[in-house]
Amino acid sequence: SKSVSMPDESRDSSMEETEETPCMLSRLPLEIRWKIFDFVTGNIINLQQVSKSWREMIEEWMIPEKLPALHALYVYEGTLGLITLKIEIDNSALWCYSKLRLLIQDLSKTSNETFIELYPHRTFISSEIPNDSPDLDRLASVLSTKARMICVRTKIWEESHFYEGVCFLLKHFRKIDVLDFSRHAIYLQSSSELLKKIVSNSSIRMVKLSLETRHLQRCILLDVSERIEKWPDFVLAMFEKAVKSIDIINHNAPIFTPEDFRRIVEVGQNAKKAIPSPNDSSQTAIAKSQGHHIQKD
Amino acid sequence: RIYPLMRVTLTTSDGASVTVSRQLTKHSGFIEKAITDMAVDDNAVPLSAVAVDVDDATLKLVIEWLTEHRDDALPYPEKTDEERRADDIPAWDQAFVQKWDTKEDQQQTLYAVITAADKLDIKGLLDMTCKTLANKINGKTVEEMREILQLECDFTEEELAEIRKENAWCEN
Repeated sequence: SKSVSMPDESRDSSMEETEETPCMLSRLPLEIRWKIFDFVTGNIINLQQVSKSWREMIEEWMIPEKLPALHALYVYEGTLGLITLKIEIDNSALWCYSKLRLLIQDLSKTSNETFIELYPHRTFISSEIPNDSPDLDRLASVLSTKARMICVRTKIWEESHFYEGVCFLLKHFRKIDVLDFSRHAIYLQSSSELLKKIVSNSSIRMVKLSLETRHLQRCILLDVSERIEKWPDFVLAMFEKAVKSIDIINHNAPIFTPEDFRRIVEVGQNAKKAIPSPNDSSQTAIAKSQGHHIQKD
Repeated sequence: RIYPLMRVTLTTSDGASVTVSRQLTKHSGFIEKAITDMAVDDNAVPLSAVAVDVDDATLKLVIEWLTEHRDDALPYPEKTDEERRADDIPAWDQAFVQKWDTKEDQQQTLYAVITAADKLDIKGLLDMTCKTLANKINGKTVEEMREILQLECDFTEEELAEIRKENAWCEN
């Protein structure tokens, strides 16, 4: 698989320029130039047109770690082993997605389902890619490592190969505001493995899951936490691992008894003294189940 | 633990010596590490000289900035990409940098201070000077940028047209 790395200093494009021009900015160390580019963001398009060496410097800087967050990435299980993708990018961030545009242009030669839709504030890029295609890797290497939302949706009877493709696509993501695994996304061992992998590699503010608790509670939660036997333990273990709030909406089966709620509150309050966290006071558990409502503050 | 009255002598790349308070040098990761590596008695006054790869004129500017920012909180708060912005330079810092604009070699001074802040590992000063440089570029046309950066255009007309075509999707 392809990994993202810092450009080789030995082929630093500024070297050539230093000999030819008096531009002092080109002579600054790579990481300082990148720091300056971070602050120039809105004018990168013009900066690319200044000179050839500057164009190279900007292209070096446009690694996934530097790209602005995607507004959203929707990954759907399609038919016949295809992954259907929809990428949503704020137009203010489009300037640094030129590599993505070129890739999409390339993919559109072989897929009618690959296209770009421009709207006044946001751009949508759609594509269908086979779940074992190397194009997923190409795509992953031109996306940001950050996303405000990633939504993974499967059909009712999901294919494990779908998750192999999703893993490839999501492997570079390091910061996700909301990771949404929809209702049918976590039936298989492979899907919970994927969830575990993403959660362990990325900083995620919120994970949204829909679970069929009657059949899947133990399997899925054990895979996520590796230590959960009962729902109250799961809630408490998540707080212990720095989760700040848990919202559980359960429509189907009773999963908490009043005794469970009491225990969560009691252990949570004791943990507040034991676990030094600046946000402990904001730890709040809201559990809605069979009309019960408990809030711990 | 920092002793505010303790002083450190810095020797510059052009042979000058400047003695400053530890209250200032605590903002420099490089100087603090040098002092720690020397493992000297914290009560020694002044401490042994720390050699810095910065010339005397630039170091004076660095010290002027450090003096104003001596009470800034440490460690310097790291910002995420989303929080990063160039239009939040404090008024004193803006005035401090504007003074260089009257000099003939103002660009050289800015680059010298950026390089010094990097070498001395003064995160706040490095951040501020990088923002200042970015602000000189932000909002400028390609021609104006070339002038600021003192660069000649080495693209052909065809190459420029190709770049504009590539970026056209951002402008629609």
